[in-house]
Amino acid sequence: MIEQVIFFALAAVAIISAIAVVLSRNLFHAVMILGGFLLTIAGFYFLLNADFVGIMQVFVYVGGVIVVMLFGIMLTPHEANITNAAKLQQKLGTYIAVAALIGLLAMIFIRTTFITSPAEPVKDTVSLAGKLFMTNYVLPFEVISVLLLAALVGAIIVARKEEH
Amino acid sequence: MLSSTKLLEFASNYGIPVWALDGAIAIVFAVVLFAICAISVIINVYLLRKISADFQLRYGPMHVGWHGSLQLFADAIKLLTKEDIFPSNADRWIFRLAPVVTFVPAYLGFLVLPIGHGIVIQDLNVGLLYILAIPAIGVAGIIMAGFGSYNKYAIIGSLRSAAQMVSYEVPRALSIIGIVMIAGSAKLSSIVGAQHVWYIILQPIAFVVFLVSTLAEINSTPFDLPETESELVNGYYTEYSGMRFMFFFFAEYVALFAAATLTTVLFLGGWHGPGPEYLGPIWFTIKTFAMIWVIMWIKWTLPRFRIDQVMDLGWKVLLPLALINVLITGLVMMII
Amino acid sequence: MNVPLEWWLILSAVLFGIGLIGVLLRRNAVMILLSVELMLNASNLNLVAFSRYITPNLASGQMFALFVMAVAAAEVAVGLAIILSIYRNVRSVDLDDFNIFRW
Repeated sequence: MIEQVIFFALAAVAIISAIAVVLSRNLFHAVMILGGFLLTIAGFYFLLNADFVGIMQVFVYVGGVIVVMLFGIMLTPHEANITNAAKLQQKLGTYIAVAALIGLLAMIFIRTTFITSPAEPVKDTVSLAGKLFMTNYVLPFEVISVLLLAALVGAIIVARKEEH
Repeated sequence: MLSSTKLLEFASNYGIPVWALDGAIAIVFAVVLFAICAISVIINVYLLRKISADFQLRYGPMHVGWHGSLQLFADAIKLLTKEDIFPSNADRWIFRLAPVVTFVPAYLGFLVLPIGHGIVIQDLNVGLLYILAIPAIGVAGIIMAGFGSYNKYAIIGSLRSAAQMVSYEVPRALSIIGIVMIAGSAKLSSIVGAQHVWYIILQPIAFVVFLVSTLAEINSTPFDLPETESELVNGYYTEYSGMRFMFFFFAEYVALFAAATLTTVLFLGGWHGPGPEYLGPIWFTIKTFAMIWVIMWIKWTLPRFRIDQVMDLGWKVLLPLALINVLITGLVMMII
Repeated sequence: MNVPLEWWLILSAVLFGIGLIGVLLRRNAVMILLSVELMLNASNLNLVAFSRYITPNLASGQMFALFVMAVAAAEVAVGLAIILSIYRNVRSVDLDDFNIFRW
C-alpha cells in the first residue's frame, strides 16, 4: 500500500519534470529540472531495492553529468530563451507517433505474462556488485574503463581551443 | 530499522498504523538532527571567531554576553530583520531555490553517521557512498546561486566552486577505497567497528589526501577561491542578503561539521575510546572538535592558492597519491 | 512487490516517449543531449525493474544499469565537447545550422 503511494508520487514528479525538461524554453532551467528528474529516478531505484545503483545515480548523474552540462551551457551561446523551430505538422506527427509507440508498448506489457520470481531481493547489493564486476562481468568492466579513458582524452582534445 | 519491537507493540495496542509510527519517528529524528546542526553551527562559529582571534593576537567578540558568547544570536537577529533584496535581473525561481538546494544536502549527510555503538538513524549498506554522493547535490545549488544572481562575481565564484568540487571529489572518493578494502564494508558502522587500530595509522597517505580534498570540498581557506573576498566580493552568494544569506552561512558551517565527523568516523576510530561503551558519543564529540580545531588551524595558517594551482594539486598530486595508496593497500593485503 | 511489474514498464515507456519527443522536436543540440539522457534513464529503470521482479537474487539488470550509466557519462562528455567545438566554428548550437557539409 505505502509502496504504491510512493510509486505514484514519484511517478507523478518524474513525468511532470520530464515534460518540463522537454518543453522548457530556458536551457538552464531545463538542466536544473533534469537534475530533479534524475533524483526521482534514484528514488525509484531505492524503491526497487537497488540501493547501489541509486547511489551511483546520484553520484554520476547529479554530481557529474549535471555539472558538466551546466559548464557546457555557460560556455555556449548565452541566449537564455531558445525558440522551438518545429513546424505544426512536425509537432503533430511527432506527438501522434510517440503516443502510438507508448500505446503499443503498454499493450505489449499488459498482454505479456511475465514470470516473476517471489524470491527475496539481495540485501547487500554493494558486495554483490563488487563480486560480479570481478567475475561474470570482468570483460565489460575492463572495456568500460578503456572507453571512459578514451572519452576523457577525446573530450579534452575535441574541446580544446586550436592554436593558430 | 527505525521502529523497535517495543514501539511496534505500543502502536498495535493503540491501533496506530505502522506507517504513521514510522513517519512520526522520522519527523522526530529530522527535528533532532536539525537541532544538532543548529547547535553545532553556533559552537563552530563562536570557536571560529575565537580561534581566528587567537591566531591573530586579538580578543575576538567580547561585548555581547560572556566573552562574546551571544554575539552569534545578535548577528542572527540582525540578518533576520534585514531587507530581502532581489537583483533586478535575477532568475527569480533559481535565486529563491539555490539556498535551500545548498543547505539540504549538507544536512542530509548526518543521516548515516554512527555517533556511538548502534546509535545511528539509518545504517545504510551504501552509507559511505551516500555520504560522498550527497554533497554533489550541493554543487548544483552553488551553481544555481551563481547563475540565478545575474552577477559576474557570483558566476565566476560558482564556476570556480563547481570545478574545484568536481575535481576534488575524485581523489576524495579514491582515498577512501583503501579503508573499504581493509574494513571489507561500505557500511559506516562496520567501518568504525573494524577500527581496533585507527585507520589514520594504517592509511596515512589516504588520511592526507582525504583531509586536503575535504578542505577543498568545504571551501575552507587554502581553497576558498569560490568566495575570495579580495577578488570576488563574496563569490557565489554576493547578491544574497538577510535570511537567504544566513542559509548559505549555515550550510557552510554544517558542511564543516559534517567533514569533521566523517573524518572522525573514517580515520580516528569513531566512538572507540577508553572506558565503557556508553561513553562512545562523548569520545566521538571530542574527536570531532579536535578535527574542527585542526581544520581551523590550517584555515588561519595557510595563504590562499591560485585557481590553476588548485587544479594542479588535485589532478597531478592528490589523484596519483590516492591511486598509489590503493595499490599499496592491495599489495600489503595480499602479502599478509 | 505491491507494485506490479507492468506499472514500472509502462512508466518507463512513458518517460522514454517524452524523451523521444524532445529528441524529435527540439533543434538545440544541448536540449537533444538532455532528452537522450531522459531516454537512457527510462531504459535503465526498465532494466532495474526487470532485475528486481524476474531475477531478484542475480542483480544482472542492476549491473547493466551501471554499465549504461558509465556509457552515458562518457557520451555527455564527448557530446558536449563536440557541441562546444562546433559552436566555435559555426557560432550556433542549432542543429539546422550544422549544414556546412551540404552543397
